[in-house]
Parts: sequence; C-alpha cells; structure tokens
Amino acid sequence: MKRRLPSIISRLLPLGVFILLILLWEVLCDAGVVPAYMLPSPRSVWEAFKGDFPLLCEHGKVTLQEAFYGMFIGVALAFAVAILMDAFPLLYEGFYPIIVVTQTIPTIAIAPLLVLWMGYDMAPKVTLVVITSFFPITVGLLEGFKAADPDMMNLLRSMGANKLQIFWHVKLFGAGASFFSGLKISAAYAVVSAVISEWLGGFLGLGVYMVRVKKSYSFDKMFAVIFLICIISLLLMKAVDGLQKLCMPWERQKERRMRDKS
Amino acid sequence: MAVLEAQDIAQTFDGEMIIEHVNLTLNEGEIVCLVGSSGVGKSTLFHVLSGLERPDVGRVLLDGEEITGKPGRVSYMLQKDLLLPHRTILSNVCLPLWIRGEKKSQARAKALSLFEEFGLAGTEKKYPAQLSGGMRQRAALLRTYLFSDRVALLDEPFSALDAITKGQMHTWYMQVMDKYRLSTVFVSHDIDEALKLSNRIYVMTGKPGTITEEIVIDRKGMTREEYCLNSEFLLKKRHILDILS
Repeated sequence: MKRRLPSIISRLLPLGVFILLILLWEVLCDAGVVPAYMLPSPRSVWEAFKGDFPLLCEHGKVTLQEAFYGMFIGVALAFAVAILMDAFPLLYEGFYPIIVVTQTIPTIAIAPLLVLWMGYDMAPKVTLVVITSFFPITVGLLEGFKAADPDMMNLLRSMGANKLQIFWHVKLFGAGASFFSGLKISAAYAVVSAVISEWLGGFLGLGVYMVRVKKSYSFDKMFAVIFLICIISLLLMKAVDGLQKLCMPWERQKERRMRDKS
Repeated sequence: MAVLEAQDIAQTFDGEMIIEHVNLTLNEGEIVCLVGSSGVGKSTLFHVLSGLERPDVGRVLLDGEEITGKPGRVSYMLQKDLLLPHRTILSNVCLPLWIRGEKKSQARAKALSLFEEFGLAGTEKKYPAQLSGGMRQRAALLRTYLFSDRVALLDEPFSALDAITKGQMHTWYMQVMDKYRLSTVFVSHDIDEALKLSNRIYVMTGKPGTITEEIVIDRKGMTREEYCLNSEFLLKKRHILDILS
C-alpha cells in the first residue's frame, strides 16, 4: 500500500496542476483582467468546441487520414531505407549525413513548395507527414540494428545461420524498442505537420478550419481547435504505446519481473 | 576414438600471432577443459574450432572429416546465455533446429522431450527475462545440446554465476552429462572447476599461446566431490598454478 501511494500522487499531480491553471485562466478572464477578444475564457472555448463539434469532426477526420497515410508510408519507407543502409555500409556512409541534413530543413519552408508542386489535395499534406515521420523512425531502426550484440550474431553464425536469418532473429526484433520510440516521436509530429500543410491551401482539414476561424477573429474557436489537435496527438502517442505493448509482450514480462524484485 | 581434432592450428589477428602449433583431441564422451590466463588465445581457438574463423594454418576434424572454417557443425556456448529476449524459452532452444531447416513442430517436439531432463520443466512459455541466471544457463545448454549432440564447445559457461548457483549447476551439469555423453571442450578460469568436471585438462600458456601441458585426471573410483577434498586434487591444482604463474 505504501508503495502504491506515490505513483497515484505522481499521476494525479499533473492533472491537478492542469485544472488549477485552467481555473486561474477562467478567473482572470471573468474578472476582466484579460480582454475577451484577446484571450477567450476556457468556458467560451468549451462552448465553441461543443457548438462546432460536428464541423471539427469532419475536418479532424481528414487531418487524421493524412496523418495516418503519411505515417504508414513513412514507416514503410523507413524500413526499406534502414534495411538497405544496414546491409550495405557504403549506402550508410553516403546517405546518412544527407538524411540528417534533410531534417534541418524547416517544414514550414517546404510546405508551400509541396502545395505548388502537388496541388491542393491530400498529396502535399501526406508528403509532408512522410518527410517528418520518416526520419525518427529510420534513425530508430538504424540505431536498433547497430546495437545488436556481436556475440549473439556470432552464436547464430556458429549455428550455420545465413545473413537473412541473423537479421530476422537478432537485428529486426532487437530493434523493436528503438523503432517504437521513433514511431512515438513521429506520431507526435504527424498531426501537426498535416495541419501546417493545410494552412497553405486545401478544402478540408483542421488546418483549413484554423485559417478560416483566424480570419474571422473567432479566437474561441481557434483555441478549441488547438486543444483538439493536442488531444489527437496525445491519443496517437498513447496508441503507439499500446501497439508496442501488443507487439512486444516480452518487455512487459521483464517489467513485471523487475517490479517483483524491488 | 577422437571425435574432434585440431591439428597444428595457428591464427593471427591484425598481423599479430595469437595462437600457434595448437594440437588438441577430444575423445568420445569426454569432458576436456582448457585453462589459461586471459589473453592467451582461448577464445580465438574456440572461434577456430567452431568454424567462425578459418585459421591461417592447421585443420579441424570432426569424426575424421575436415570442417575447418565451416560453422554449423560443432555447437558453441558462451559465458553469456545469449538467449533472444523476444522469444520464449522453447523457441530459443529450438533456434538451432529451425536454422538447420527442421520443421517447427518437429523441432518443438524434440525440444520438449528434453525439458524435464534439463530441469527446465515449466519454463517453456516464459521469456528469458523471467528466469534466474542459472535457469537461463540451463536453457542455453539445452540449446547447445539440440544444436549438436556430438561435440560442444563451452566458453566459461558457469563463470557469470554466483558461487552457490555455480555449485548447483556443476551437479546438474554432471547429471546431464552422465546421461547424454556429450563430448565437450570447455574453457575455465576456475581451476577447481576444471579439476572437478573434466577428464583431461589442457593448459595454455605463452605468447603466442599454445598448449604446453596435458593433465589427465584419474579419480581412482572417487566421486567428484570426494576427489575435490583429496590431496591428489591439491597437488594437481598446485601444479597447474605453477605452470600458469
């Protein structure tokens, strides 16, 4: 019982702080310290959220679709590139620095170009998500492959295993944890990237909605959509966590054993 | 009859001669121990014997057939258990059979029939992280046995274990060995362990390393435990310590 308590506190504490901050915000707005046209009160944000909920859902669906397609393609591409780079060290030497450099290009800068090249449909949005999600996953996979225990590989080699068998049994599964931490970062950025590219042109999506409400100075709706994006991103990250637990049951057993020991 | 034979092995690494003129024989059902200070080239020799490395000079024979530089014939177990963390114990021990291309169900049946005997009953569906160090080492030995029931190379198999577990493992290991007669070469830093478990001891010294002495252990009908308390044991131990120092 004694041991449980701190974990509950540590879980409730951030929630408590969050609620406190919202309350403070509400009080400040109600007291008129901050003018309502500059910063809407939490209550009016909630009203806006409720009022526009069907519309938000419609736009959110499109944004989510773009994020999913982008991440799916990003993961597939990352696997292909990471496997090739691991198999051929020359490719690694040649391309890894370039891949790193591509990550320093600000997404906001390439988004308009993508719109110019690909038009106002889904393509530029999905492409931007691919570009942002590809990198953390590729790096995660490559680090995971590199971390494979050389003794383990020697053992399999001594059993007469070929390269493919060693890759499958040792490297691929060994890279699971670092793959998922890469995927988690990608999930966090995927929705935001989709929204950014929607700003620059499109017909549907949370970014499009955002630009419209900004133009009509509906700050309450602006905040409502920002919160929605936060919530979607958090849920996506949680989903990745769940997926990891599902795909890597042995990790859970390890945790359980550690807890039993302590 | 010699099961495994190494003839005049020499191996260099980065231009430096690590071992040379190494001759070693392992007879059917025998347990032979290789002792020597660290850096003398025991692991290099094991890499050659297991076929992971092709020696610059010399040949390795298994049942008279040349297997120099051919992995997959002689099983090899390291100090670390090296069980795949994402596989259950059953899948882990089946691994060498799968790699050899045996059917999954067939491999499983073969492995399962040995779990009881190896003291692993009940661990089939567990992951390595759920087992103690001693149990993991048992699983690694079962995997080694399934890989080859002819010859096993064990590189300090018990050295990562604590003293009590080590003693238990020795007893268990000898029970398994008495039943399955797996011809074994094992490396040890522990001279007591070498004298307790083996039929013969090769002492490796020098730079480049080579086998400088062969000691035959004759227990004269004593049990292993009795032998460990006998004066003969201490004389042999003193002798090996003298060579190594």
